[in-house]
Amino acid sequence: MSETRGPLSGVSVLDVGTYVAGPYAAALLGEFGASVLKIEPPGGEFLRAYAATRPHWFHECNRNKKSLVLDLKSADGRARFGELVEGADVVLHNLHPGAARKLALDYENLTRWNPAIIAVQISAFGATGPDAHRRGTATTIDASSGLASLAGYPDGGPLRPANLYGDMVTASFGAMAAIAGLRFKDRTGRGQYIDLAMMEATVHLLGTELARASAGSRPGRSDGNNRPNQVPHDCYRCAGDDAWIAIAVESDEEWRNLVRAMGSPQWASGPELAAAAGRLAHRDRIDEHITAWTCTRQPEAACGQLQAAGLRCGVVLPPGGLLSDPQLGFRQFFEYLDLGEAGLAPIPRTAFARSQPDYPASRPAPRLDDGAGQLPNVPRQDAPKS
Amino acid sequence: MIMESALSGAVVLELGEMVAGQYCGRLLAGLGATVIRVDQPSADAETGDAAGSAASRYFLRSAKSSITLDVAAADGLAVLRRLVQSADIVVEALPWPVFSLAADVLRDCPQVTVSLSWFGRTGPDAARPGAELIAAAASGYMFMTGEPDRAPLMLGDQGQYLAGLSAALNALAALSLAEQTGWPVRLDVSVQESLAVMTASQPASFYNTGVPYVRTGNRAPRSSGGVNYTTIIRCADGFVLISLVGTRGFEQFCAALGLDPQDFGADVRARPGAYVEQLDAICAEWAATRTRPEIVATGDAAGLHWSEVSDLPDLLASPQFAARGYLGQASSEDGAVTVPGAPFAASAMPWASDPPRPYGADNQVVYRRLGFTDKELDDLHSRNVV
Repeated sequence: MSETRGPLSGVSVLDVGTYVAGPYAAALLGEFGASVLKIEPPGGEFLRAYAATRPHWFHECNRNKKSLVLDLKSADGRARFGELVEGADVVLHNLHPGAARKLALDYENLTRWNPAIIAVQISAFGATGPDAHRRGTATTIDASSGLASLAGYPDGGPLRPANLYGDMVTASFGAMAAIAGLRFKDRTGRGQYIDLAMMEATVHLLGTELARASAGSRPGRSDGNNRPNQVPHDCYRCAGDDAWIAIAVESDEEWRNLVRAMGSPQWASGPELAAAAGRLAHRDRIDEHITAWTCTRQPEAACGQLQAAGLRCGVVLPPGGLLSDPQLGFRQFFEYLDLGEAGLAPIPRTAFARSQPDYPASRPAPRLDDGAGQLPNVPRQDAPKS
Repeated sequence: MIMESALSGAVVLELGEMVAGQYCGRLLAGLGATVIRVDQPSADAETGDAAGSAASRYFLRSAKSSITLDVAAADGLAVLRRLVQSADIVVEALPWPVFSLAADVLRDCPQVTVSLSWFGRTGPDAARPGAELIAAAASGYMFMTGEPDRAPLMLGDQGQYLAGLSAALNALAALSLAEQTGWPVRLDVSVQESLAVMTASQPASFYNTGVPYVRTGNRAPRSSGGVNYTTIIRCADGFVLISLVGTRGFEQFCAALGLDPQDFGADVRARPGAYVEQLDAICAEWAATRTRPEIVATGDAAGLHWSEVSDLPDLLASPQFAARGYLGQASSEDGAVTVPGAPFAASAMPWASDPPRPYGADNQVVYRRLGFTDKELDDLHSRNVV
């Protein structure tokens, strides 16, 4: 057995988050070895209601934690919370700033209990500014961040990226802010307040697009799967149900290899297609011909033939297909959590330690209030009557 | 005076042209590290961006030093070894052949080495030719984005930005571990895996149910079981996102638009998403004569989290960003440019945003500090090594 140790061993985190962005950020800190206590209202946090029908998502967002029920609306609950804050390094939540103030979760109040606390407050648009009152989920942020208008088909309108993009990006920045705050505290002895807006975290990943737009060098509409100087560069339909392969040709040499791999057909041999500019002018025709070639072939077969010619190409895997992908399997990308009656849950690893020391293995989400008996100096609060 | 920040005093060496590596370095620079970016001595090979303008490079290059070195040249590896040995974090996003050449030297970093690549530095696909499109195809996430009857869609360079974010987060955490234990930590982040994390619990759902995923465009995913309704729709001055969740959301929606729930079927409160065609028609007619601010305000008043669909010019003119000082204006060689500042607002840690340095501007300072003499530097320069 090799030794395991996380970078945040010995760090104590209070997670007062709900739904995804806050809890996922705290789960990342737990994956790094921090001791994370999930503070839940009586009856459990909102996402727990989904645990019966969608257990995997709840467990992914809340792995590596203990749970403690505290009613922060009561004076007693707040007093117990204060005792926990005194001994904690980080408090993290994603309640609306107004709601957080009512529960005494604002930074000013937290510093009364612990002047060196690192408080990470996640909100949709930020705690200040004319939009501070607005509430939003990752779906809201898909639209307001500009992601939807940068996605989509070149001939179509805005398109939402799948799943909860803004939540996941924000969670990573939340964990980063907390760890940066911990390092800063180690050096200076000072805690601090982090105001993390889902909107600003998400737009940060569009920094280069914004810069190009500000300098007038970016077209407004989506490029879809296309790249202006790389043709062909798209997904092509294959034989089978919703089966596709992706092909990216980055140079004229790769184009010649593609033509050879397809058997040097007449349509592809014209000199007008030899250079990228010519292929751009005839992109529709090229895409039609490639589709005619791919749509009679199984995706794996078509891909194998093109990859043998050194091309950049791949099968478009459905999410379930990741489980049997040899590359992800070799790298043990999925960690299989044992959820008991709910079966095994393959959960993507987000902490990429590939050398000694390995980080600790993940644990499933906690049962409600399972941490109550184990916390020093915190009397157990009666579990809510169901 | 230099303000203390989370990574003050840490030296980061950044190698490679991939956006993923450059974004990782940019985030570490923001947190206060001294990031030394290694550029090619022939600087025109610097960027894969077709526009290739200083404005488009500004975001990723700011807050970094620049030195030049051709790792693949004769004596290049010997120079690299001295750079690697004096760094706290080495960020390498080199093309596979150069990585293979330099792998032994990269192992000399005493603290943290973080690799970024399309598929990872280990496994059967380590040397497979990649691209953003190809890594996205292998991630499962691309399959989930797009209309059901059309091709799956990639999202610009987002896979590379996600990999850069993940790498920076993991490197930041790992540096503390290396400092505590004295053990070197090697991290290996792939674009494929960074995007695959965005599939969230879909692989786990497939593992347990065997139900394949179906793209739903802007509509709510099937896994929401008809509880959610979401659309992006044209309005008088652009596009808006309208959504609602569950019984309460449906009632709020009816109140906001002045609808009578009796006009729908009996189960509409439990499963509003089952009435998607009817709701689409209602929203299209209602939104057509209203502006984005009117629609967002109507949603706000009803407690619904709707949003305008922003494009890049909207973001550049955002009053919210202006009030919070999120965007920074600067001048590049190509004129004015606007870029995001800190991804989160920290009360005590500054975020570094110095303008980019010209290629090789820090050769003298960096190489002299490593003990190279003027004569040695002249010789290396004359042979195009630096």
